[in-house]
Amino acid sequence: MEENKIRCEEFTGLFVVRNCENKPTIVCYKCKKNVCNIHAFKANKIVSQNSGLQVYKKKNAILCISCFVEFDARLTNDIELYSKDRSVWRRKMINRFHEEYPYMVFMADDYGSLFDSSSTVFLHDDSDDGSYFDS
Amino acid sequence: MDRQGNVLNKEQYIGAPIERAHLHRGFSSKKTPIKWIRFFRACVLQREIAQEQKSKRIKKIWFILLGVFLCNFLSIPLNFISETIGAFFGVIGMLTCPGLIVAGIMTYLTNKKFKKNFTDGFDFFADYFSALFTLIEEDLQLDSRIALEANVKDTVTEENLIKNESYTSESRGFISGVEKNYERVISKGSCFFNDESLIFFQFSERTRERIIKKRGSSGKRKTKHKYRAAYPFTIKMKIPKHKYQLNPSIDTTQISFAEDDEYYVFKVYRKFDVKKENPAQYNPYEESSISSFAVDYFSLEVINLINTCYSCVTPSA
Ligand SMILES: [Zn+2]
Ligand SMILES: [Zn+2]
Repeated sequence: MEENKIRCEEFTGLFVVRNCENKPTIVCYKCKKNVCNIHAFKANKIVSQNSGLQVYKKKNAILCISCFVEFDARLTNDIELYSKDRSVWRRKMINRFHEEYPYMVFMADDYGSLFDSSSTVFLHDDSDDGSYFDS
Repeated sequence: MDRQGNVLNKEQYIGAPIERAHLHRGFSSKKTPIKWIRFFRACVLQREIAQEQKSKRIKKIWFILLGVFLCNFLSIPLNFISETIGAFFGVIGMLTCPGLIVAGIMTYLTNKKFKKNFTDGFDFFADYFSALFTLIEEDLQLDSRIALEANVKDTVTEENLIKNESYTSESRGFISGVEKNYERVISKGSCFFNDESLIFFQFSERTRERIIKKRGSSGKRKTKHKYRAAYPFTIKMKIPKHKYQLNPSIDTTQISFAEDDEYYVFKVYRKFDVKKENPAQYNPYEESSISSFAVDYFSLEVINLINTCYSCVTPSA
């Protein structure tokens, strides 16, 4: 990877996985990844008994979502979905999905322009859903 | 800046002018995932608030009645102070019996009004679909909306009856029986993924009700209502041919496949059945069993249906 083209080093998507296109605003305190606001989380919001965490909490460190999820001991049931924590919930569930199911994933990067996000935005007429469930 | 964001709380929803009562009984709309999640949350909160108000009102009605009843006892000592006051309390006390009827009717009406506006079972719907939409949120086209139609009324009603036949059993004391089958589409909808795939989904409740007349061990006749419910979830996916190739071997026992000029069309199906999957939680005397499936389990199983469709194709190089 080229160093001069700086973008957020996290990813989005479940089936077609893409690199996050956002501008990074923060460096993860733990893994030093550049991440954008959406993928950055406050360490002192982590719910966990892990004592290794104290150093991050004390420093009011900002972590990337991957490091945050790694520490966060909450069960998915305890996460409110109408909040920014929704992405933490999603990451935890995706991790579980990877573990429990034979998982089909397409990395957008591997297929070049095929999943180029600028060319895939089609304004479909999404009204033609009538006859699909008459069987 | 609060990175973790704010959550909706009850206070924000008292008197909020969002889509009101009708949404508790069914709706049809197109929204972005986050708007749907907010909407579901709001529905659940509104119901909670209404339930609190309802209980308060009922409590008040019976509290007043208790006051009226106590006047009977107060009137006796009060008679010694003043006969007028004593008689006054006595008269109020006499209203206990008619008051009992009025309070009963008011309680009934309050409960009925609540039931009309807020349905049971919306919590499960809100939880399941919030989870599902959260999981696919990042796979949707930017700002693209999910069309969703829902009917959260009871399944066991005349309009959903699809089969009605007699039922016999060898069990002891059996006199006669009827078996009724009901089906209701709880919700259906569609959305686009950002690879131009189209996803259609449909979620139904199928309930079998057995009404059994039998003689108990004491010889007394009784009627029993027993239920068994299952929840088919169907995913139909149209995957664009110009982005994907069809894999050579597809397991057609699990996937129905068709194609048109532009799309490969897959249909997959998963039936949630508590009696089979979680027998300890099955209760034959309860109409609905959907809430005994954990949200995680449900949403991952549904996601796996989409996964199954994708497993039939490979991106064109
Ligand atoms: Zn990190
Ligand atoms: Zn990012």
